[in-house]
Amino acid sequence: MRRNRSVASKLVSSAVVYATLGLTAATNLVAQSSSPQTHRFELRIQNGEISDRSKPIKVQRDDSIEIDWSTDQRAIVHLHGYDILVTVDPGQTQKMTFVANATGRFPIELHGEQHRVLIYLEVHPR
Amino acid sequence: MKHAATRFATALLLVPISSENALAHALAQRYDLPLPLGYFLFGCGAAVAVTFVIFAMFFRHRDLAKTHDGFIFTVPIPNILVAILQSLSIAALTLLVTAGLFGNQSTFKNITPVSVWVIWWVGFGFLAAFVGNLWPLINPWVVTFDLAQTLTRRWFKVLSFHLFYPPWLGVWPSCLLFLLFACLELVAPARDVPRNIAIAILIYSFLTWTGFSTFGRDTWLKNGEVFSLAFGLVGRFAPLNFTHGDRYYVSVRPWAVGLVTRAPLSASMIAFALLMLGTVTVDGLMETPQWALFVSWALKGSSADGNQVRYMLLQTSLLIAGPMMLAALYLLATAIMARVSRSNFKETSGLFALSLVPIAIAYHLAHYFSLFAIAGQFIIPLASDPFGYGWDLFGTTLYRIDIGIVDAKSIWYISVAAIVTGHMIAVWLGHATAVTAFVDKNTATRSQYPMLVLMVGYTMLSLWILAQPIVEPNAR
Repeated sequence: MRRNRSVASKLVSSAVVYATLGLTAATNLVAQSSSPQTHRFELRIQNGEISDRSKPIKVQRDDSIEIDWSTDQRAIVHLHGYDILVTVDPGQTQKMTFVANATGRFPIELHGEQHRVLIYLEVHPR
Repeated sequence: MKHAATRFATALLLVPISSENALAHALAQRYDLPLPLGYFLFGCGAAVAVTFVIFAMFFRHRDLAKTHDGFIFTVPIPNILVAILQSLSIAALTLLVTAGLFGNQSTFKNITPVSVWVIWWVGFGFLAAFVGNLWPLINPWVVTFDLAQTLTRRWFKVLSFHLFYPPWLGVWPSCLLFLLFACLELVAPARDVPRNIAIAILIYSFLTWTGFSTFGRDTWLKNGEVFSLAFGLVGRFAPLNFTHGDRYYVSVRPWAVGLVTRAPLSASMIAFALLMLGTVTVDGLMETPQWALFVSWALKGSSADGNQVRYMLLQTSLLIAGPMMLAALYLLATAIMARVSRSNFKETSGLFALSLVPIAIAYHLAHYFSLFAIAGQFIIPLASDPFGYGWDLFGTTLYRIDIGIVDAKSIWYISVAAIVTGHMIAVWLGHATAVTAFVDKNTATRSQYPMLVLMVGYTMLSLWILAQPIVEPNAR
């Protein structure tokens, strides 16, 4: 009984060590830390969607973000998670300004009769 | 910087105007980033490596499979503690139903939706899997039924007809109820509306009490009370086990040994286990870009009005097809195992279903950890104002949830570590069960090949889902 346990505990501890090592290696490949930056995006809604961009907006944690919205018809735009809502009228520009202090993948939706995802905002860890 | 922060604060102040509409479906929404490629590859590699290591170790040290038969120790639980927990459970059920029926009907201004979907279904599920399944102790339907029985003892000897429960029926009623529950959780459009949840609780309460009084409390608990079975299944993984004899006892055992199967499960119990495992995976599949593509392809050409219904039909079909597919693969694997070990197929297929449970628990943790940490915070403001009437009982009404409470990197670590560990335990469980079931040790080892393939596949599918960006199909 005692021997089993020692075998099992060795197994577990070695696996934990390998997992930690591997993950540390993996993170170094993924993350390149740098100081927070400021990003500006101009997004235009046409026929209920963003015509010239479909890829997610990718930023890093603590970056400052400014999104300028324009539209062809009145639109209510909602960034989920950060929970920021702007109403945009044709001919004007509305700003969404915030510091991306939480990581995650957040949908930006057009609210109307149906909610429709316009684009995703991805805030990656540093 | 400061300028931006001020604007951010201003934007936040504007939110209450919109939140009613905006948060209507946010309860089910997760903000997880996809698992980066490096983590995904590492997870897959580690899963395969762990499989070979354990396999080799079993070859050398077969006594590894000798598990604890029983518990390390068992102690009675003080009656007063049981009474307190049971009173809390009844109070909670009463609160959830009354708040749901009579409170504010906006999802995040009422305590019921968050309590049921996040705190109870996800949180209590985690507790049942990792610490101990308290459900047998606090099951509110049992507590109320027992109370009613005590109060009416003067007139009725027992509150049940104790009709004969046909053995062929097994836990099939629970399978059906679980499927319904999964539909309510994942498909039903108004599942976040407090009143709907309260009504569902009431209907289920009457159903359960009817089951108790028709077939006897214990018979129905074993076969038809779906949450006893569901929490019981994941609770086999936990180190604490709560039982009821003349009084309540808690026993301590190592993690996962409760899942070593000594007697084959019945056909309906295998179905229940596979249904639960399959649903967990389907839940994740429904957020992948591939599913969204499929949905938009399948819905092409139909009118916007019909879309909602068609979308729900698609989801329901996946909810049924997913577990069926898992069952087909599982039965195929066990059929080959039975062939290799020259044993009975029915028995073999009853022995190994539970060894897959750790993989599902691990995936469930990876999938829901951040939702629990983020959406679970809603309970703090809601505790002060459970009905959404504008009360402030504990002074926490103004608490604003912190979506940055866990960093994506921590979630990735937790996910990969959980899945590799879950896989390792599953492989060990399969071997331990085989060694207990088959007399000949070589047969036991050889019998594991098909199971290992299934386990590696199931683990990789879980990792693959986590590596997909979460996408909402535009079908609403």
